[in-house]
Amino acid sequence: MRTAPCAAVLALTLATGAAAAAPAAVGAPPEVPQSRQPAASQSQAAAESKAWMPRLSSWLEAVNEHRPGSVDLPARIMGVWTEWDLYRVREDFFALVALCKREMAQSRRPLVVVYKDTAIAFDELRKLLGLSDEEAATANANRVLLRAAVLHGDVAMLVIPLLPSGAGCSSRATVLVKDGNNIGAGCLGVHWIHGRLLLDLLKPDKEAEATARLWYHASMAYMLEIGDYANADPHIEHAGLLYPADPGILFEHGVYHEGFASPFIQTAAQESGVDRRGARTHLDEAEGLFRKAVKENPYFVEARVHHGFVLGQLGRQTDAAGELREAAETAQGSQLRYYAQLFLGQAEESLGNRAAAGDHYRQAATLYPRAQSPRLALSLLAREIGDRAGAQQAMRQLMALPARRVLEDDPWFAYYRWQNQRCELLFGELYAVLAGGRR
Amino acid sequence: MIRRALALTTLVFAAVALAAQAQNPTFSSKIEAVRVDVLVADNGRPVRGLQAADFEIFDNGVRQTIDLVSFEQLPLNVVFTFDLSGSIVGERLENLREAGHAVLGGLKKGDQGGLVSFNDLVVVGPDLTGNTGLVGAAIDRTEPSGNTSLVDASFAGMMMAESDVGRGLVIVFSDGLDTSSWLRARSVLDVAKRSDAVVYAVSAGLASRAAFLRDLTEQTAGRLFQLESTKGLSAVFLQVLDEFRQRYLVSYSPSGVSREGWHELTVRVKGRNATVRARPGYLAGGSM
Repeated sequence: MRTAPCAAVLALTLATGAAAAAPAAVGAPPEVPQSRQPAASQSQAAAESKAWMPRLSSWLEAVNEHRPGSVDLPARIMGVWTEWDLYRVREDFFALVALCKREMAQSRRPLVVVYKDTAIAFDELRKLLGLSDEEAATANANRVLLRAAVLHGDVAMLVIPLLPSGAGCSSRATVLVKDGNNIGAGCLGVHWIHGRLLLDLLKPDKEAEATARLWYHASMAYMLEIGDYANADPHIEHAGLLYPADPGILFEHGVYHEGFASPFIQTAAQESGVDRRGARTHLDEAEGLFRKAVKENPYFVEARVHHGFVLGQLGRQTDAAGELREAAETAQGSQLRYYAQLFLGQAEESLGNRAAAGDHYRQAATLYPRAQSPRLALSLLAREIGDRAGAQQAMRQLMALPARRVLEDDPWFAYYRWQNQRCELLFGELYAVLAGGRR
Repeated sequence: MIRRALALTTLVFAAVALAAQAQNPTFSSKIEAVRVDVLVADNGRPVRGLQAADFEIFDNGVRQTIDLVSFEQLPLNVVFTFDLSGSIVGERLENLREAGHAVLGGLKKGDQGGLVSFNDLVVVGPDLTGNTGLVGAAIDRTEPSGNTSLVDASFAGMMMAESDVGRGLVIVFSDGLDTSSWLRARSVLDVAKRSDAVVYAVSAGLASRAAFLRDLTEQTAGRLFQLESTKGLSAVFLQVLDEFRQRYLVSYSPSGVSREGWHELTVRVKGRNATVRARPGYLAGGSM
């Protein structure tokens, strides 16, 4: 089983215009070519009456046969489907599931149902939809919906990157950004939109909801890991509406806004006009989300570190220092401890507590002996108080670092992406859930 | 950092500075002799041959006694601070390398060169050295990739420039956009106010992106060049070197002013309607 390609970021994508509000049910119809406008003529209606069943049938076949995490034939077939195809199949599936429920409520064993001028035996329809009697009677398609969401997530992650540009695209354009520069155009992926809309139709069920949450966690981690802020935008907004008190979702939502406030994204976003909110707005959003995440789970040290850093960026240094002190005391693992010490150093420095700042920077340097950030900070700290010798000494330590350093030597460079390290783990867990038959 | 043997002129300057400190013990630990790099121009052309008596310098409005004015006497410490992020590729990179070599070729005996290259990482070295071949080879070895830690690197460049008693010239080349620094721009600008180094910057990006470089060059009395193309980069770099050589180094020991805080500087040339470019002030109080 392959896992999601949670690879290092090469470029990032930003959505153009406002984030799409998540439509209910099947979603708003996509923009389609004139020739394919629905019900434009009787002949088109007739064509649709012939087309819906093979389309639905091949989609359900793909859903059932796809091996989660793999680039198999079902996933490849789905990769060439258009936004319109997906809209139609969603419309048909939801309509037929509802039809099953209605028919079963009227008669325990309806013989034939008619849909889009096509008569179909009820048992055949139920079989086509892959629903048990009980599922059909309650319009509970959770099992199919979860598998389908995973299939379309896999298509977005594993198949679309292999196809020519434009495949899997919605009508909404995005810009591609690298090192703060716009380097091209992209689009919002239809498979993520489709996945979200499918999961919106889940019937209340604890296990299904847990799996859906996992799908959102994993896919958010993936999007942030590869720098796909365009798709992340509606995705995380949607997840936030569904799970408003989930600390993990709150955290990821905060990370999204924190990342968006970074210079890496802000300059390009402002210049290209895709985002007029500005860094301050994103930082305010991030602060609120991290605060809620910590409130929901006081042991969520990673959220506390991010909260402290954002507070510092907002100029609330006393609050930042308090939050980071608590984080530094409880942080596990060298990387999280490094962040806590480095950020606490900056907060203390801003408060004029230079000795304390120096201590924290030194602790950060001890945790990562090849990191340049704490050494630069120590040099600057010394220079600020007129200690030229101290400033030069710290610079000499920087010079003494190996010439061929790598970004991993200094976790600061991974700060905006580090939380997504769990991307592969999360997908592994999600795939295992499906493989084990748990929903 | 590596320090080479001091030239005679440098020793003379240092001796004067030390003597000044001895006479003003109240400033000995905080405000040492203040060095101000000054460019005097008349109708855009540098004015040469001025003496100490030709200058007037006011520290927070208080007239100061000038200890020394030197011109083309102190050797230069030229620190290249080069952006080697992913956006500096192809012709831009070639032009940058050529421009670096052009400046190295223009250095005189006693001058030193050094290199700070940066993308996400700031690579400091070669340190200041009279061996320009070493610096040139390092420039040729650079390979662009990654993001841009412009603020971090500018700080490192200033630190290298002031690691030796020569006159520090930092030449920053970048597309002007910082995407990955740890240090905050305002902190580095504060250090710039305390530094003797003069920063000239060449930005190959959009003007809106060059805010940090504009502030940095203003604080250090350098100059910002904004280029649409890097085709003429060598000429710009040589212009920087030439202009820096035309500058006077004015030194005085502050008196009658507070030890702390921001000191506004006003430098004038008597009897001339000349344009004077000097740093706008300096920060004192555990500063300098």
